[in-house]
Amino acid sequence: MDFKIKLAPSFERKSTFYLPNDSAVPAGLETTGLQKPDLSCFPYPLPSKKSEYTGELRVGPVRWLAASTGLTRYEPEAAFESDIIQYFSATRDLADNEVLALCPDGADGVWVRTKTAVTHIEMIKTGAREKAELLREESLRYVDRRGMLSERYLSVPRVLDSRVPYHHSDNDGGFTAAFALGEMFRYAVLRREKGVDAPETKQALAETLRHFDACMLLCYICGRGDGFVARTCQTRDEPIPDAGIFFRRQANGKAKCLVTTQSVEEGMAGVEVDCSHPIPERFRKPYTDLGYDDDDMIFKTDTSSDEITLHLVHLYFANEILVPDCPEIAPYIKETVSAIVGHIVDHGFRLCNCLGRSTTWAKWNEEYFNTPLGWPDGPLNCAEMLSYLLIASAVTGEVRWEKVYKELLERGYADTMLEHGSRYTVNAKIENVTVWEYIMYGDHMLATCAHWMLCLLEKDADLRALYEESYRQWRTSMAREHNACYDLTYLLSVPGAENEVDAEALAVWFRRTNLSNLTCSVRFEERHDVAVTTGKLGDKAITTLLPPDERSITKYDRNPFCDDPGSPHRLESCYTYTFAYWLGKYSGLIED
Amino acid sequence: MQDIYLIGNAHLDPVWLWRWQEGAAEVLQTFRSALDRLSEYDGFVFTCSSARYYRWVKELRPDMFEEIKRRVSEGRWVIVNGWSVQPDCNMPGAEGFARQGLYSQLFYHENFGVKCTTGYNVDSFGHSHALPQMLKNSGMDCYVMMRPSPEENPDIPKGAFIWRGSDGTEILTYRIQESYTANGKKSIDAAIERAVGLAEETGTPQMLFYGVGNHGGGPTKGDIEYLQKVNEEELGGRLKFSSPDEYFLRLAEARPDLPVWNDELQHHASGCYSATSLVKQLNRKTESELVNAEKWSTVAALDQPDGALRAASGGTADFAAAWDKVCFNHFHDIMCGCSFMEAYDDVRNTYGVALDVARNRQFAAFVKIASKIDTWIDGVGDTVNADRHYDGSRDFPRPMVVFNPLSFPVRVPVRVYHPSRRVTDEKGRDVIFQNVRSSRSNDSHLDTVFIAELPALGYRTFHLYWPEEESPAAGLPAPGPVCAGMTGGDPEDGSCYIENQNIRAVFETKTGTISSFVDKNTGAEYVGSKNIAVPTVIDDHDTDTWAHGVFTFHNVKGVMGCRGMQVVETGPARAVVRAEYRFGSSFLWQDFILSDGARTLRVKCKALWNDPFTVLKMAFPLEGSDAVSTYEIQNGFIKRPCSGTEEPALTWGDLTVSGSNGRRGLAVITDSKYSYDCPGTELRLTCLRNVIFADHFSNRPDALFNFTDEGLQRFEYGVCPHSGEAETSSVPAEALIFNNRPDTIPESFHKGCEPQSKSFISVSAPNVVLQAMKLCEDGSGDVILRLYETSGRAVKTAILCDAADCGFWADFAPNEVKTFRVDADGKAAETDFLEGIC
Repeated sequence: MDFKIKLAPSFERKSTFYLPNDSAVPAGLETTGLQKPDLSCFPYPLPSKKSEYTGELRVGPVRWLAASTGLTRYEPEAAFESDIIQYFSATRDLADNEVLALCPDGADGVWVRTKTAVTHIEMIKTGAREKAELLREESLRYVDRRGMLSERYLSVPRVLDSRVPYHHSDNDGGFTAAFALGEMFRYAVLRREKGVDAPETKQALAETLRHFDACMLLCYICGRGDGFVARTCQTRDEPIPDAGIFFRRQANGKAKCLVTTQSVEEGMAGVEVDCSHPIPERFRKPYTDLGYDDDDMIFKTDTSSDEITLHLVHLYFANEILVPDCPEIAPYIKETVSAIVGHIVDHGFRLCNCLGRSTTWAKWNEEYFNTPLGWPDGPLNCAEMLSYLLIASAVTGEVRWEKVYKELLERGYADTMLEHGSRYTVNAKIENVTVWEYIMYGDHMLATCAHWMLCLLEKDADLRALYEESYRQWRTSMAREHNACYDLTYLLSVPGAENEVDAEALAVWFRRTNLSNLTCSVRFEERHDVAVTTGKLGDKAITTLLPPDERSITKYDRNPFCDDPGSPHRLESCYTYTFAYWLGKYSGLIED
Repeated sequence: MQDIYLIGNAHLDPVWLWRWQEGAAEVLQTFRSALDRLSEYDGFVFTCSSARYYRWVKELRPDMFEEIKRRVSEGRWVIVNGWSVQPDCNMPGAEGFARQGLYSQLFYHENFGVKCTTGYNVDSFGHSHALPQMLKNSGMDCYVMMRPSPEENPDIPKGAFIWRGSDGTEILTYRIQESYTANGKKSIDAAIERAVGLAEETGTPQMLFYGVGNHGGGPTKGDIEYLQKVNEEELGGRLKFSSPDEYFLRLAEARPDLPVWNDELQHHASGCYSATSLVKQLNRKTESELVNAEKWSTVAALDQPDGALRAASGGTADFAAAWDKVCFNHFHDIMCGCSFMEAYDDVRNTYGVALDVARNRQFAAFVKIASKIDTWIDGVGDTVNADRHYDGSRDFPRPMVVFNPLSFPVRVPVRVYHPSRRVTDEKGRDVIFQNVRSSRSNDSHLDTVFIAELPALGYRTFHLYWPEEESPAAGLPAPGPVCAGMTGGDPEDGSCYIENQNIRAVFETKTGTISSFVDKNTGAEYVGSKNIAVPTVIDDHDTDTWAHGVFTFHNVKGVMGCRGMQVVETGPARAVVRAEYRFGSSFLWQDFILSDGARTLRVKCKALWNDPFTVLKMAFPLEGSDAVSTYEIQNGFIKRPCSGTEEPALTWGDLTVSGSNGRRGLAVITDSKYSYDCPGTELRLTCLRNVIFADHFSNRPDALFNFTDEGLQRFEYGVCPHSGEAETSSVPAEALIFNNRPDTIPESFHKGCEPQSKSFISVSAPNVVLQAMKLCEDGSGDVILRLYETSGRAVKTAILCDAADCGFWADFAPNEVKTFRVDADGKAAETDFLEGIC
C-alpha cells in the first residue's frame, strides 16, 4: 500500500494563564490601539459573528482577530488549509471569551487580555512524535496509578499536581489495555530504529511491561482462577464510588462484596467468595512495592465486553511483540488468554460473576441476541466472539478454539455480523430516533478491535471477504469521525481502504491534537461557523467535524460532533493519541 | 402464523382518463364512503394518501373535513404519504420532491396535528435510488410501493425489506405483491392466500390492501364484513384492521433480519419516461424557474435585517401556490404522459400559472436588486437621464444587468434582444460579442449575444452600445477560436465543421451526422467507426402508451435522411451549423451551436413530427471497453449496465469507456427529456415518443387518434466530452449551466450603494452546489439553504453568504443533500425539508 500520512511539524497551541497584574504580563498589553477589522468579503467562515469582532492585531502574515466571543487566528498562507483559521476559546485556551486586548509575544504567539485574566497563547512548532512523547509524559506523571491509566481528577483546576486519589473507575482496565498497546507499538518502533540493546529501547520495554503487568493484575486479582477479569482494582486508601460491584480481598482467602447501591439491589452486598487462586509475584509488585498486601486490594467485577475485547487484543500483541524479547511472560499470556476465552465458552458464551450470573454487558450467546436488548448488539458481539477465538487459537495454539470457532460459524455468527446496519435501522424505528442518534460511539472502538483481529487472523478468503464487508458496514458511521485509530486499523485490514480514507483529514487529527489532555471546555455549538442539528431526543450536535484542539477532549467512546463540556478538574489519558500514533509508525503508515 | 395487517384504502387517480374536476368529485365521494364505513364498523381503519385530496375536501366540503379530523385524532383514519400526490418517482427534480414533502407535511401538521411517517406510492411506475433520502428528509422512514411487479423484477425482495438509497439512507419498505385493490370475495380470498403464504415464507407479518380503487371507491361493506367473517371463522383473529404505520412498527418490534436492497426499484412502464414531451418539458422548465426565482426573491429580501420585515418582503405564499401546481402535475399518470389528451390542457394551464408566478417574482427581485447598483457613469449618465429621447444620437451605452442563478461562477453566452456595436463589462473592458439573427423580422432582426463571466449567484453589469446604423451587418466573421465552415467539394457530400477552443466537430453533410468529435484539450477523438448524433427512428407500433411489458426500444425503422447543412454563423462569440432532416412525414432541424469557451456542443432542435407510433432517438456510439453508463438522478447519479433497457434520468446521461488514452466519455445533456438507453457502447437520448394518448394495452378501436408528440416540438440537448468518470468530471456542472441560463434586465443610470458586480454566495467545494435558497415557510424570515454533493465523494465545504450574515462549514457524504436554516443572526442550523417547523 502506498498510503502514507505525512506529518510535518506544525504549530501547537499552549495557553498559560495569569492574573492581570502579574509581573510576567507585558506592559504593551493595552486596551487601546486595536483597529476594528474589515471583514467584508472575508473568504472563510469565522467562528464569531462578524459584528462581534472588535479588534485586530497583525503579526507578519498572521491576523489575530479579537471578538467578544473568543479569539480567531487567520493565516492565509498557512502550510495546511485546515490551519488557515484557528479558534481559541474559553476555558481551554482563554480564561473567558471577551477579548479586550492583544499584543505579540515576540515569537509566534500572542498575549491576550480578556475580562477576567490574561492568557499567553504560545504557538509551538512541534512534531507528531514529540507530541506523542509530551502527552505520554503528562499521562505517566499525572494520570498513571500503578501502571493503570484512565483519567485523573484535580482538586485545583488546571493544577496537575493537585491530582486526587483515584475515585472513579469505569472501563479502567480497557483504557489501560489501550494505552499498553500504544506502549508496545512504541517499543517495537524503537527496537526497529535503535536496536534491542539501545538504552532507550530497554527503557521503553521496562515501561511497557509495567503497563502489561497492570493489565495482567486485573486478570488475576479476583483470585478465582477461572479467567474472570476484573474491571479495575484499587487500594484500600482509594475511595470507593457508589457505582458498581466491588469486592475487598481478605486475609482468609476470600473476598467480600462491599455495600453499594448496585450490590444491594443485586443481593450481593456482604457476599463472600473464594479468591485463593494465587496472584503471580510480578503482578503484585505494583502494590506490594507501595507497602500494600493482597488483602489491601479491592476489585470491581461488573466487567463488560469492552474490557475483554481490549485485554485480548492487548494480549495478542504482547505475545507478538514482547514475548520474543521477554519469553518469561509467555506462559502468563497463554494461561490468561486460555482462561478468559475458556471462561466465556464454558459459561455459555458469557462472562459470569462469582454467583454464576452474567455480567450485564458481557454476553455473546444467541439467547442474548434474541432479546430486545441483545438483538442490535448481536452483530458486534458475534464479531467479538469470533475474534476472541482467533486470538486464542493464535496465542495458545490449542485445537479447542478452532473447533469452537467452526461451531459458531455453523451457528451463523459470521452471517449475523452482516446484519449490523439493518438491525440499527430497525431498532432506530422502534426507538423513534434517527440512526445517528442510535449509534453507541463506544461500540466503534470495539468494532474496530474485533474486525481488525478478524481480518488479520482469518486466512480463509471467503470468510475474510465477509469480515471486510462487515467492517465496511461499520464504516458508514465511523468514517466521518476521521479518528486516527479507526482509520489506521481499517487501512491495515481492508484492501482498497486507501481509496476511502482521507489522508489529509487523518493528518489534521494528528496535527491538531492538543499538547495536553486537560479537558477544559471550548465554545462549541455557539460558534458561528458550524451548523447545529437537533435530534428527536433533543440532543444537539454540530454537523461538521472540528479539529481535535477545538472540540471536546474525550476517549474514543464519545460522539465527536457533540459537546462534552469537560472540566479543568479532569485530565484524560493520552492513549487516544499514543495508540494511534505508534500503531501508525509500527505499521509504516505514518511518515514523520 | 404471522399477523396480516388489513389496509383499507381507495386508490384515487385525480387525473387519468378524466380531468381533475372529476377526480376531485371522486375524492369527495370516496371520502364520504370511508367516513360512513367508519361509523358503521367499529375497528375499521381507513388509510389514504395525498395532501391534495385533503385540500380539496377542506376547500369544498369543510364539514367533511372536520369529520376527517376527528377520525384522524381517533387513529382510525390514517394519513400516509406526506406528499401532495402519488407522483412519478423518477422524473421530478430533487427540489420537486422536497416541495412535495414540505407543503404537504406542513398542511397535515397544521390541520391534523400529525406528520406522515410512511411514504406511499402504490401505483407509481418505478422508484429512483434517491428516494430513501427524499423520504427521510420529509419526515418519513417507511415506504409502501408495488411497481415493478415480481414478474417485471423478481430480484426485489418480497414483502418487507430495507431499502438503502444512493446516499446510504435506509428505510423500511414494503412491496405489495399483486394489487392494492382486493375487493370482492374471490379477490380477497386470493389476497389472503398470498399474504399468508408470504408470511410463512418470510417469517414476517404482511399487509393486505383492500378496497375499490383507481377511480376511488374504497372498502365496501361487503369487503369489511367478509374479512371480519374470515378472520373470526378461519384465521383465529390474525387479520388486523390496521394501517401501514402500525404495520411497520409491529414489524420492527418483531426484530426481523430483513434483506437489504441497495439499488433503484425499476422497471415498469418504461415508455412513460418519454411519452408526452409537453409535460416533461414544462416540468423541467417550471421547476427550474421557480427555484431560481425563489433564490433571487430571497436575495432581494435580505436587505431587511429584521426577520418579520424580511418575511414580508420576500413572501412565500405565492411560491407555495405555484409549487402546489407543479407538485400536482407530478402525479404519476400526468407526469408519465399516460393520461388522456384533455388532461394536458389543464397541465399546460397550471404550469403556466406557476411559470407566471416565477417570472413575476423574479423580475421584481431583479428590479429591486438592480435599483441599488451604482450604474452611474460620469459624463454619460447625466446626459442620458437629462435627454431620454433618442435624437438620432445614440452614442451611449445601455446598462444591462445579467444574473447567474448558479452557486458557482460561469462563463456563458447571454442574449439580449437588440443589436450592438460594442459590449463592455463594468470596468469598461471589451467583451466578445456578436450580432445574431433574432426570432423577429422587424427592424434590424438582430440580437446581441455576448460572452459574460458571471459571479456565483450573482450579477454583473454590462454596457451595450447601440450600433451606428439602423441595420448594421449581422456580425462579420473574425479570425478567432470560434468558427464554422464547409470543407471540400460538394456541399451535399462533403463536410462542415464547427469549433471553439475546446471542441472541434466535423459533420458529414450527406448524413448530417458527426464524423469527428475531438476534445481539443486532450486530443481525444470520440468518433470511431460509426458517426455520432444520429437521428434514429424506432418503430413503436407494438407497445401502448406505457409500453407495458416492453423495456427496450430497439426496432429501428431507419435513420432520418439529411436534406442539407449550412453554416449559419461563425464567430467571434459563437458559431452555428444547421442541418435539416426528414423521415416519412416528419422533419427535424438541428442547430449545432458552439460558443466561445464552451465545453458542451449545444444542439437546438425543432421537429415537426407526423409519424405515428414512432420514437426518435439521438444515437452516440463510442468505441472502447469497460463501458459504463451513468445517469443523473436526484442529488446524484446512478450507474447502470449497458443493457439497452430504457432508463429514466434527469438532465444528463453518459457513456464512458476505456481506450488507449484512459477513461473518457460523452455525456448527453438535455433541457426537457428524461429517457435514455444504452445498448452496448451506444448511448441514445430519447427525444420524442409519438403514441396514442392513454392507449392501455393497445386495446385500440379503429378511430382517428391523437398522438402524444405529434406536431411541433422544440427541445435542446448538449454533447459534453470528458475524461475520467462522468460524475467527477465537469458534466454535472455543465448540465446545471445548460438548464439554468442567466437572465438579463436593462437598467438605467443611477447612483447606488451596491457595486456593478456582486456575488451573493460562495461554496468552496466544487462538488457541492446550491439547490435552493428560500425563506422559511413559518414567516420568521429565516433563510433556507439547501445544497447537495454531486460527484459521489465526501467533502467538507465552506458556505458563505454575507447577505444573510452567515458563514459555516458543512460535511457532505457522497450524494447527500443537506438543508440549513439560517436565522437573523446568521447562525445556521441543519434541518431537513420540513425546515424545522414540524
